[in-house]
Amino acid sequence: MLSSRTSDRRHSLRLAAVTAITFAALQLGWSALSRDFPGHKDRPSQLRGLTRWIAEDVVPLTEEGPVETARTLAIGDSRTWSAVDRFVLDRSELGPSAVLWGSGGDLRVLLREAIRIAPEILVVGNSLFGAGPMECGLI
Amino acid sequence: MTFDSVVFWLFMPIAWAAWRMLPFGLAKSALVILSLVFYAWWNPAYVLLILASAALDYAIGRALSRATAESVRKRLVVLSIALNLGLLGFFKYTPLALATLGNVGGFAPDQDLLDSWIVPVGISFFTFQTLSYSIDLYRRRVEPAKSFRDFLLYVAFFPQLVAGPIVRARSFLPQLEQRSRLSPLRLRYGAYRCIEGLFLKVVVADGLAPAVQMSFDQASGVLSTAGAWYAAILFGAQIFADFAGYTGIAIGVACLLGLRFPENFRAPYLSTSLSEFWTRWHISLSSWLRDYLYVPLGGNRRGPVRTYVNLMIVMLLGGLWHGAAWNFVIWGGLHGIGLALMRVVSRRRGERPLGRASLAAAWLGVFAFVHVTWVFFRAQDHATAMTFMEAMLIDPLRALGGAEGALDGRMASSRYAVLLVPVAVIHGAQWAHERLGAPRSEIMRAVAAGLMLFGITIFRRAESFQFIYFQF
Repeated sequence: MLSSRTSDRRHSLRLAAVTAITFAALQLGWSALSRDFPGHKDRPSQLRGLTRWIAEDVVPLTEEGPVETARTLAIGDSRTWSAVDRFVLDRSELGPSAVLWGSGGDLRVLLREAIRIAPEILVVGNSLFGAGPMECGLI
Repeated sequence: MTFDSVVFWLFMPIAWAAWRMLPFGLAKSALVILSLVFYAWWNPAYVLLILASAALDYAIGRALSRATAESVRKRLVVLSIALNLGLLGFFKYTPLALATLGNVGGFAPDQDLLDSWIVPVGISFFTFQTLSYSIDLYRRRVEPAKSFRDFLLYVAFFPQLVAGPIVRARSFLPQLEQRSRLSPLRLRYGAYRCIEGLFLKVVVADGLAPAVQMSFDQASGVLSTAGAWYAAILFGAQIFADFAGYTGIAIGVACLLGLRFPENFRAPYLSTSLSEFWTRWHISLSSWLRDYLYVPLGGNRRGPVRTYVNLMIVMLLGGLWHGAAWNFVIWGGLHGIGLALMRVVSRRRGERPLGRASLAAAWLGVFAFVHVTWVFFRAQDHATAMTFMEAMLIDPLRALGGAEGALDGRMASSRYAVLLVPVAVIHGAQWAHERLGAPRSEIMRAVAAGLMLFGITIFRRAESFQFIYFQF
C-alpha cells in the first residue's frame, strides 16, 4: 500500500516535470524567436504621420504629433487631418497639438482611443457617416 | 472574483488549506464562509438573498422529511417550487415582463427602474439546485441535509455558485459526511482541468470575443454569407470555450479539494443528432430539465403529439432560463422544433443505424443548425439576428437564382480561425476516445498542460471579458 502511494507520488512528480519542461522549452523557443519580431506594428504614413494598428490590431489609425502628451487632440477622418493646421495650433495657447485619424473616421474606435489618451482639449471633426448608424444612438 | 482573476488564485490556496487541514466540522464552516465571501465579492447585499433562499428551502426540506401524509408533502413541495420560481421570476424576469406589458398595453415602464435592475449572479443556478433538493426529498430520492451548514454549503459552494454545473443534492451531500482522501490522481486531474479551463477562457474565448463582437455589431447588411457563417462558428467556439472553460475550472477546483462534480460538456459539436447534442452540451441543465420538467410532463409516454408538445415546453422554458429576453425563447423554440422534427424522422426510420455518408451528413446538419440558432442566442436584437439569417440562408439562394453580388460583403479576419484549433483538438481527442477507443494518456495531458500554460502566459489578452454564463 505504502509503496503504491510512493510510486503514485513519483508518477505525479514525473508528470509535473514533463509539464514544466514543455513550458520551459516553449518559453525558451519563444524568447529566441521573439527577438526578431518588430517592436511595433507601425509604419510611416503615405504623407505624414505614423500609421499604427489599434483596437486589437484590427483598425489602422494614423497619428501626427505627440498624441499621448498633446494638450489638444483632434480626431476624425482624413478631412479632419487635412483641415487641422498644427503649425497654427502649436503656436497658440492650444498647443501642443496632435491629430489622430482613421479612414472613415469610425467614432467608436477614435473615441475609445481619445478616452484612453484623455487630452485636455478634444476636437472631434467628423461627418455623420463616422458616427455610425442612427440606431447606435451616437447621433 | 472570477476564476480568471489573480484574486481567485490567491483565494484558492486559503480555501484548500481550510478544507483539507482544519477539523472536518470546522472545515465545512470555513468553506461556507469562504463561499459567501466569494459571492460577496460581486455584491455583498445579495448574500442575504442566498441565505434567505437556503434557509427557507432547508426549513421546507426538514418539514418534508418529517411529514408522512401525502397531502402535506405535496403542499410543502409546491410551496418550495412556488418560492423558488417566484424568487427567480421576480429578480430575473421583472424587467422583461414590464417591458412586454408596456409594449402590449401601450404604456412606458419606468426606464430608470429597468436600467438599474440588477439580476443576482448565479440565481438561475442556485434556485435550480434548491428546487431539485426539495423535489428529490418529495420523491424520497435524497436524504435530508444533516445540518443547515451542510445545506448552505451545497447551495453556496463557491466553484459552482455562479455558473454551475448544476449539482444535485444526492451526489453532493453524501460527500459532506466525511472528508474524502485526496489521491495524487485526483490532484493531477484537478490541476489539469484548471489549466485547460483557464486556457479555454483567457486564450480562446477572450481571443475570439472581439471578432464576434465586431461581426455582430456591424452586421447590418455588410456581412457576406461566408462572413456571417464564420461569425456564427466563431461564436459557437467562443461560447463553448467560455462555458466549458468555466465549468472545467469548477470541476478542477472541486477535484483539488477532493470533491466530485458532474461533467457538463462532452465535445458537443461531435453530435450527429440534436438529442445527442443535448446530452453533450450543458449536461447538468439538460438532465435537470429532463428529470424535473420533461418526465413529470409525461415525457414520451403519452403518445407522439404530447411528446412534441413536451419537447417544445421544455426547450422554450430552457431558453427562457438562459435569459430574460425573447431571443433566448426563440433560440429554445428553434431547438424544440428541431428536436420534435428529428423525433418524427427517427420514428419513421425506425432503429436502422446510419451509414457513414448519412452520419457525416447528419453531423453537418446538426452543426449547421446549432450554429444558425447560436445567432439568436448572441444577437443583441431581433434585427441583427434577421440580418444574419438573410446573409446565412437567403443570400446563397439568391446567388443560386443568379442574383449578382448576393454573396459579397465583409468577414472578420481569417487570423481568428487559429483559435478554433484548440476547440477542434478537444473534439478530435474525444472522438478518438469514443469511436476508436484511444486511451487518455497522462503523458499527453502533461505535455498539453505545458503547452496551455505557455499559451496563457504569452497569448493572454490585456482586455478580459466576463464569462458569458454569468448573465444567466
